[in-house]
Amino acid sequence: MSTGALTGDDWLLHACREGDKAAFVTLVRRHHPALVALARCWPGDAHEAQHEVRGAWMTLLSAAPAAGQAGAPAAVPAGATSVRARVAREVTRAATRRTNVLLQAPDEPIVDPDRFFPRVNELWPDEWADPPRPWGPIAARRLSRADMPRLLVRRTRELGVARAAALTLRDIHAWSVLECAAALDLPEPQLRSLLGAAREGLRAALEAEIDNR
Amino acid sequence: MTCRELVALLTAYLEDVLPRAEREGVEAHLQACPDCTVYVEQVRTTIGALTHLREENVPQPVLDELVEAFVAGSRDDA
Repeated sequence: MSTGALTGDDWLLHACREGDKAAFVTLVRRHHPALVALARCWPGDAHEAQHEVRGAWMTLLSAAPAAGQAGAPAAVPAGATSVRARVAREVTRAATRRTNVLLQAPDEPIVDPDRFFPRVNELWPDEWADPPRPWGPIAARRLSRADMPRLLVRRTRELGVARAAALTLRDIHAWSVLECAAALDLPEPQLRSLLGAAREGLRAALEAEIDNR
Repeated sequence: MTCRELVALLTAYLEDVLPRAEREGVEAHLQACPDCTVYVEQVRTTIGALTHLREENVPQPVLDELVEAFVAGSRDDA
């Protein structure tokens, strides 16, 4: 079987399916931490998260090759996503089945509407009524405190599963929006809505921490 | 563009998917609005803080379990 134009992770996945243990270890070292971080966004403990991600890897390895991969049947539609996004989608589906928590984009405004003047205000329609205050050196010191990572993790989880998952993949692990959307089984515009709401939720939490709001 | 509109467009702006006219509208607004400039800086700072949470390591016992499952799966397929 020719591996053709396979590169990077797709090549490694092909090698895994041929039984190459080293290829599997390489894939795991590259992507397992992000996948576990994703699984931890749903309720449950670390053991459940590891179990789900392990199952997702095994599901992908036993699945038929996606379009563009060596051994893929011609009928498989084009547009297959990255290897890590496909494993992540299996994690999303398993966690959703286990918890019945569905991922949905928010339909409320991103920023608290009370922080703006009303649209009908004669002088400042839709402008900030309660603008953010600049974060100066004190904020920088607070953000570099040793306990800040733990606080960020806690605040991220408090945003809810969908927002936490979007932040985890896009902003913590720097996956592309396309991969994040595929991983969470959401259309790209919904993923961006989630991301906007999540970033604002976390910014507001930090603002409360820094400004003592 | 109003401040409320800028906030609604911010994610698309940061992800660089806004059409040119809207992107220019956001940038023109930011030139003139210190409050929105502060807001955008805070969102960027928040994103920056998150990058420090990235976990890179796979604990050896976890890796061992995964490899064991992989080997068992390969054996079943053979």
